Amino acid sequence: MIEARNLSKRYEDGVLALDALNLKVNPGEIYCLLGANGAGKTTTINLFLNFIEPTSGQAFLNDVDVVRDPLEAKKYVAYLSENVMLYGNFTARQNLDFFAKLGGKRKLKKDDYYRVMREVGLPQRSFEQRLKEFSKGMRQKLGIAIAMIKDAPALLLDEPTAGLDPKAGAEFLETLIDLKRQGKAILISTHDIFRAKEVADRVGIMKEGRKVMERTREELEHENLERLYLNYMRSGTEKQ
Amino acid sequence: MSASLLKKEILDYLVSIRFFVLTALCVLLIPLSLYVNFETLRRWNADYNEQLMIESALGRSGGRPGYHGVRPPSLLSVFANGIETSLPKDFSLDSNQVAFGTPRSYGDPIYEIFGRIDFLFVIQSVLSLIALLFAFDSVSGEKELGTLKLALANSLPRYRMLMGKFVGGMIVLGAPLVLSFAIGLSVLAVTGYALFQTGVVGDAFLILGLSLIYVAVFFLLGLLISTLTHQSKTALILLMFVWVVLVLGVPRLSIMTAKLIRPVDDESVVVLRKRLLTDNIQTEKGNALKSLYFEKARQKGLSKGMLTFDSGDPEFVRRRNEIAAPFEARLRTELARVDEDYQRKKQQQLNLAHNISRISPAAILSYIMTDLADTGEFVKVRFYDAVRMHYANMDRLVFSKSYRDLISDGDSSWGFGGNLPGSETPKSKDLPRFNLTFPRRADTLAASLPDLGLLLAYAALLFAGATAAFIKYDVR
Repeated sequence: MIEARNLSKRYEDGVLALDALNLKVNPGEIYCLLGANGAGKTTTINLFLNFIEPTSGQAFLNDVDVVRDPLEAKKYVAYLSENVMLYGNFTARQNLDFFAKLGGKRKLKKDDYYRVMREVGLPQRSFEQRLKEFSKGMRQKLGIAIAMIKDAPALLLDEPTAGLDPKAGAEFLETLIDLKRQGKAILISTHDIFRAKEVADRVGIMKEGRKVMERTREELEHENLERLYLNYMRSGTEKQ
Repeated sequence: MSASLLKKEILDYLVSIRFFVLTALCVLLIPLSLYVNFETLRRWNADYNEQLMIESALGRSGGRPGYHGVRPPSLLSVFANGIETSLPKDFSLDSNQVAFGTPRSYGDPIYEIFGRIDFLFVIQSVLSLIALLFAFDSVSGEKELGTLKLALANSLPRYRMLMGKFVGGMIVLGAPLVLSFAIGLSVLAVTGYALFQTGVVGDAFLILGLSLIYVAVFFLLGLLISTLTHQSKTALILLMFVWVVLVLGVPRLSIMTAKLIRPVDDESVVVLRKRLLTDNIQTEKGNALKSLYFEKARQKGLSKGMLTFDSGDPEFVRRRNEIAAPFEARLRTELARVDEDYQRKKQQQLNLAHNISRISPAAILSYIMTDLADTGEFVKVRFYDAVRMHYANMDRLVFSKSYRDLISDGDSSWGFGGNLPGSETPKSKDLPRFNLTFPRRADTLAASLPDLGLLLAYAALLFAGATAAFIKYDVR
């Protein structure tokens, strides 16, 4: 489970990047945070990963306070960032092996790595290829594999579809749905309204550090998410 | 620190161009520098042995062997030339002074222009630079790659990650160094170097251990700067600046600064001052002795303009000694005072320069390694002490039993010199020979301990600084 309680972050320069965010992502649920650049989406993920400390409020991963016990909290989360470069001189499997071991998976075999890479759609010939020969999309797929192989109950995905071609994007959504079925709590920060609408159980729209709207999948069946998003971006007030 | 972190760091370096460059430089420079310096040592040894043979022959033929001394070259100079090419290789004595000869030379003018590469130089300049090139992007570079965020999204303590980087980096830096050193020692052994002479292998290992500590200091410096910057380019520029300051700047600037703070006369001024002092006191002595010499000339009925030192007249000799003794004693005291004053001021200046230069690990490495190689300050001090002691022996046995009078009268002057009648001087073969023994290793180590402690303290401080900075590092 991923949970934020009145989570706020004000930077040293006075900018309020996140203002009293409350959200809860339950096991088997996908939550998409939508918003423009600077809306506070990545700040939220950085707070969950304890890369920055909150000014007030609390963040929990699997009921563990990420500030009080960051190392314990990180046992329950896998993370994927936007435009991950990874180690160019290592092969895909070596990269996967390194991060899997950091995530506590020490007894995996070559076949386990190959299986995960196959699942994210990497071609067989790329498994033992050096990353510097990979396209941006292939690196992103490997990033997804890294997040998957940890087999953590919570996933934090920061712009995961950035750089993916439409086919890879569609495959990624299938992977996400599969992970959801396995009971993972998934928080996604994204600009991609269309994919968010397809996959999210709940959607939150962020603007200037505040969550200005939240809708469930059911509610969105009767509303136009794109129009809602654009309206919020223009005015910041809820319009039906 | 986990095995996977260590494995990743090692593998990351092993597949990089940096490792290839490091290995190539080590394998090329270290054995080559050891071999070339051994060739030079061979020549220095041959010169030294030839000079000893000449001394010995002089002793047999009634010459004056004790009036000359030769400094033996250090067997360990193949690792660090140090003072071998700046400390006089020999000296000559007369009753009033020690005249030092020229230092040893590499024997090729090209080295005088471009300098010479020895193991110390390879470690001090080349390896320190490579250590920085290994470390400059270890944190900031990972931030740029996005791998730092990915790694730290796991339950991985930051100090452990930093430790992995340090140990992994040092294994990769150390392996080619140790391998090249082993190749270098093998080359020395095969070409006839007395590697298995007592203590040499042990000293070589001490030198290698010291080199690894020094390389670690620079690697940690690179790690620290990398944790203080967010772009590897910035880290690289900063590190290049720091390297120039620490390796090229501080050691050279320290002596210039010390000269400004504690100025000391040039040695040539001191030589001139001593000569002037000698001339003055000799003239005073001559004036005091003038009447005695003229009286003796009158007694002997010598023609005008003729004077003599009548060694057959005990009364003349007694009176001459009585008059001359206070002047000769004063001359010795004054010359010793000028020498001591100069040496004291020079030593103070040098101590100040050394203390300033200790800001730089490169200077500390030089002090320890040259001392371990018997080509450092420790041996220099021993050499001058040994020369002083030899002079004191010669003075007691020979110089104090001779006389040298200079009588002037108007435009005329007369000089007299030789052994004082009735005094016994040793035969040539019995004169003491100059002997310089190299310090015991325990003494060198004891003398180097403060510097070694300082180098280790730098390493500890840099690691603590890097850890503190990395714990607060903004990985976003």
